[in-house]
Amino acid sequence: MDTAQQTRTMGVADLDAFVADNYRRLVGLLVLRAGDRHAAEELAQESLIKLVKHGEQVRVMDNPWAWLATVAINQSRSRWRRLLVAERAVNRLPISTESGPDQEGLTELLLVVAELPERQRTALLLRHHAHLSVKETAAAMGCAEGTVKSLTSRAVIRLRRDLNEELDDAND
Amino acid sequence: MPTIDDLLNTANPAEAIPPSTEQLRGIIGRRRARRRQAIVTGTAVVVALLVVGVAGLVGSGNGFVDEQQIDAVGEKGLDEGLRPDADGASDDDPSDTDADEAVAVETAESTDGSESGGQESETSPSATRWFLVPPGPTELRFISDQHLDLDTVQPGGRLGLITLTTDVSDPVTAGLAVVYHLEDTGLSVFRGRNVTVDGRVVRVESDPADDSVSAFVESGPGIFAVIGSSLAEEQAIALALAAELVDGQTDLSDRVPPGLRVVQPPDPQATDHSSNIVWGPENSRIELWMRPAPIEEEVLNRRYAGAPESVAVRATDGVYVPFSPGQDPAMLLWEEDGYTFTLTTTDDRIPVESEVLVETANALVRLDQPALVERFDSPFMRRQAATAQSWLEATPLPAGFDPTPLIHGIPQSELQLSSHIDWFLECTWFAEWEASILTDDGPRRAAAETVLADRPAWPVTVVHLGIVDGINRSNDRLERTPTHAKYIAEQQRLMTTIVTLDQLAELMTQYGCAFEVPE
Repeated sequence: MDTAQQTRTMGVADLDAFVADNYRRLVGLLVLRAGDRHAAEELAQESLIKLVKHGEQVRVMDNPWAWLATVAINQSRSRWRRLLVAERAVNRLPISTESGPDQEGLTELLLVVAELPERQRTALLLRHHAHLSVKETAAAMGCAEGTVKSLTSRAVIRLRRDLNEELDDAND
Repeated sequence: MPTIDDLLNTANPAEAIPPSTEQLRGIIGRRRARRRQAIVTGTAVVVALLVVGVAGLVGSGNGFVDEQQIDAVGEKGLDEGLRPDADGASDDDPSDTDADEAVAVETAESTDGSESGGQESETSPSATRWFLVPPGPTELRFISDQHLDLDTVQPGGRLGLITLTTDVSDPVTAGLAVVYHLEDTGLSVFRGRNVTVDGRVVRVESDPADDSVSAFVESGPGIFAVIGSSLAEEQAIALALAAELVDGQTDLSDRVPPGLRVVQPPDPQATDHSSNIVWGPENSRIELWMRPAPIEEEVLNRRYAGAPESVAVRATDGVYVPFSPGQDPAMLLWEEDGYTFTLTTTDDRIPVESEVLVETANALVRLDQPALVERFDSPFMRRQAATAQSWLEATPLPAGFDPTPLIHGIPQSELQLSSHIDWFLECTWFAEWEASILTDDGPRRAAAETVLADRPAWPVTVVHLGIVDGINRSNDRLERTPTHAKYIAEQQRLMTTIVTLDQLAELMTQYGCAFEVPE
């Protein structure tokens, strides 16, 4: 059962399970978005706090993961505005992941993703990491579905070029 | 062959431990407690808050310079002693004040001459850095060299505050207390026990989880409340009663608990690029944000925002974004003097019509900086210019250093001041480094790298890290523990990790530096 299908069947009492099932995926999305594991976990926590606050509304949504992913992207987008003054000193980490089975490959991936233009990166991550549909991604980004396709396509082309890697087109 | 999804999923950290919803609810609860404190703190800033200039940081060292001087500094760099490559000319061209005087005239007209902004502009036409504050009554009272402001809320409510600490040099970790007076708020919303003191019933609430204590006393139309950390219950009770007396214009000087004195606390919600103020009664507080940038298209295009509408506000074209149930509060945005101002409600469940926000925005008045600083009368603010200058004098500055971006509001604590200057210098030197690479200027690049590598030893950085470490030791707000050594290691790693201009630009953007990532 994929994440989207799983979350569509989320019951009222399953908020903890939903968080547990999606946390790593959420952090991964934000690592790719922010390029920083520490920031990603911080943003994930902020996103989940919103999830808990809006729990009643989220529970009845068709796709709560889409909602959470959108919140997370918005959180990361305006992160710099919300960083507390005192926290700035400890958030000055360059791109880092600190762990993972393929540290070198992951770092390279993060650097390449980080170099994507803002909207291409957002479209790519929402489509191919958060697994939102084109329609959901368009709604999250506030743009037309055609724009999502265009942005995603250009991002994928650039990923292939910069990573110099053969990638399956199945998810295009 | 991996798919794109497979590739991206390698970023999912297998060892990440998800928080429980119970933990998240605990965070929400603690934040609510702090938010009550922050709301009051934000109101404190009525006095110094939307100060649009820290020009005094690089001014004469004993106060704030006016915009005329800022312009001169912006063009020519710092004072002779602070700018290694400036030409040393003193360029106070009187023509530079033309625009300022125009602003002053507008200020005087827009406030009907009733506010000190307009009055000040007549006596001091060059002092035109201005501030938006709620209209009166906004009174400051000074008691035994202590600071107190009351009656600062508009519209529809009153709110005063007292802030206390046992250690002015480290206000974040000291026992902070805020006292405020809320109208139309029932005691029933608070749980705790009643204590009778001198015939007055005081409600006391303690929260061991975050070491906070609250005291509430009902009086006349509203409630006086004290919310403090590291504050004994009896102190909170005494303060609540003192606040009640103060509202009756009773001298507070003999009612402050022993060992405490009134100071201005740091604003825990302030960010590097914006300032905010909150005012209004409990259930309809209005929040004003300002940013030194145009209105963000992004804000207007948010998924859940209602359709933006054009509105006339403060003699310009603004944008009203309607309330969207359960998602976004109503917002009013307009640009003024290079800043984007946003008025919104602090509770996104409350619909607010555009007329209300426009009326509120139009009621905001300008105060000029000297008047505001004078009224604020904070010991820290009085010395911050000299403090900042001492840090800058001891730090290498790029040629043509422009202090204009320092203008983000008046820091109210050493923490804010050090953080802001540290961050600004860092961005400045990153920009210098970037420019040296773009111009293929080897010596310039080497100089920038040398300075950046030495950043942990910059006086302002040392001070700032000391404060941050102090906060961490107290476990006040930062749960991570960045030690000085770790910070130094990070800086050294930074210089070897960031290898391309795109990466640098991205990093600088993450820091909030005003640079764009190239498409």
